[in-house]
Amino acid sequence: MSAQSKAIALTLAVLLLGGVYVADYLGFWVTESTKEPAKYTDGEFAGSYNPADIRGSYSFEDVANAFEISVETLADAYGIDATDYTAAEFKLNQLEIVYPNLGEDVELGTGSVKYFVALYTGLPYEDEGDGLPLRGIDILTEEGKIDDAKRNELLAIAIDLSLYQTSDETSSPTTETSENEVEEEKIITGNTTIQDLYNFGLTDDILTEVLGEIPATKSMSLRDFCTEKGLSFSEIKATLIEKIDH
Amino acid sequence: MNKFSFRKITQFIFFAIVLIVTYAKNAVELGLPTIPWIDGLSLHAICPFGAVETFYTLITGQGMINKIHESTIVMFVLVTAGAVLFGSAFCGFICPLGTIQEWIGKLGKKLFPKKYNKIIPQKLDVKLKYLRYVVLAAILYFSSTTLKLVFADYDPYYALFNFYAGEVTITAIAVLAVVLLSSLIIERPWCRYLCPYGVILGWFNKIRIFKLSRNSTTCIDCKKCDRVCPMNLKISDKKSVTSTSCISCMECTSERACPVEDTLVMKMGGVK
Repeated sequence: MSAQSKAIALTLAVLLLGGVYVADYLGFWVTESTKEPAKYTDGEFAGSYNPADIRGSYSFEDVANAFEISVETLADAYGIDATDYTAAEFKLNQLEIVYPNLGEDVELGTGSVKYFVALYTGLPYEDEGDGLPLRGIDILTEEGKIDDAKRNELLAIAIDLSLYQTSDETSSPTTETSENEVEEEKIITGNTTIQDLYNFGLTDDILTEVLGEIPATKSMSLRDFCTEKGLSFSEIKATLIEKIDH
Repeated sequence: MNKFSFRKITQFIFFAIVLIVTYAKNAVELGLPTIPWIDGLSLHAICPFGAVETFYTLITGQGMINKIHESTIVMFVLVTAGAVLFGSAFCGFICPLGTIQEWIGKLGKKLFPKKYNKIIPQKLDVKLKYLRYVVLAAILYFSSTTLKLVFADYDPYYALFNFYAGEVTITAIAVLAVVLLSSLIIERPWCRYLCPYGVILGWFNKIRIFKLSRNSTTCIDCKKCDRVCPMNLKISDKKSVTSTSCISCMECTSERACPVEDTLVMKMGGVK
């Protein structure tokens, strides 16, 4: 028996499309992940959902279902207006669309929500250098989730979203000043380079003290340097922020 | 030669299906005009190669890596079933990245009629085809060590259908651009030298139920089969085409290029 192109084309089409139909009928055709983050497998929080596994495809409602935080709190923290979006259905990967003008060194996306949720719920989380909305930090303070020392630390990475236009508006970010403006310019994120640290006013002596050496490549990101040297990015970042503040 | 091609119709239909379902998915997330009655799907959900990328995590009980879903495994099983029957016919009949390279190749044939598909010396061509194994090994290694879909950052197929969606890396877009430009002068450059899934499906050419076979007693040795092969395989001296590079496009067979009936055919068990 020989097979012509017609037979091969029809067989493949029936096999693929029919196979998908049958798989769907049998319940095997699952095209999205369940909206449940992974759980901690050991330690004090074993069995609890891990905010580090929150994904960009999750909606505020998915996050609220997994963690003890409400959709309203998330929407408030991230300045999402229910008249523009149904807050519960708002997906985390839409943050970058809503706030397109934050600047190259300012990260406000899924990583920020992970960090915010971890702070809100008290769950352990390795900060990855993302920014936090100023309103979110206010919420954490108002609800007693963080103390003054932590608040001051977080203000160094705060982003006052009220200063930025969302994508629904056409003008560029406003230039009005705020008490937080100076800190905004000196945010240390995963993309911050060694040169940026010099630009923040840090000297060779300070960098040697904190990093153990002066990185040879000034264009290297701080995160890459920490990874290469086996240093904790979050600890180094916190120390550098203290140095900048002084 | 029969000009009407079921293969090309099938290619067009599957290209359109992938284009529509990925757009439908992206449109919802990007606020673009949506397509009524069509449920959008992530490209990762329907690309069978994802099952290869998550193979290690599956067999080690770690579940599937991020962005890979059960539907990916279903697609892999279905494509593998097709490969058991016809070898790498998925490449020649279905794969949208192969299809767009062919479309651009048609333009290339008109622009460079003498040089098209002839600029790479045969010895180099043979060596470059081993790059597919290197790419496959690298993907398996990095996927299993990072537990991430690392290939997405370089994948021209993902870039082709998602370049407007914002999640595609510059690297992937650059790879896509190089592949599409190369298609003007080399037939299916990605499939030929780099495709990691093609090399897996190509292995089935050695064991497929319907074998692409040449009847040497009726063959007139005109070598038309060699000239039309998009992968530059030498077919005229083979009894059966088992090369992992064959994409089972059927262009060389008696229904297309071969002038002698029943001489170069896809036949169950092969030609006796």
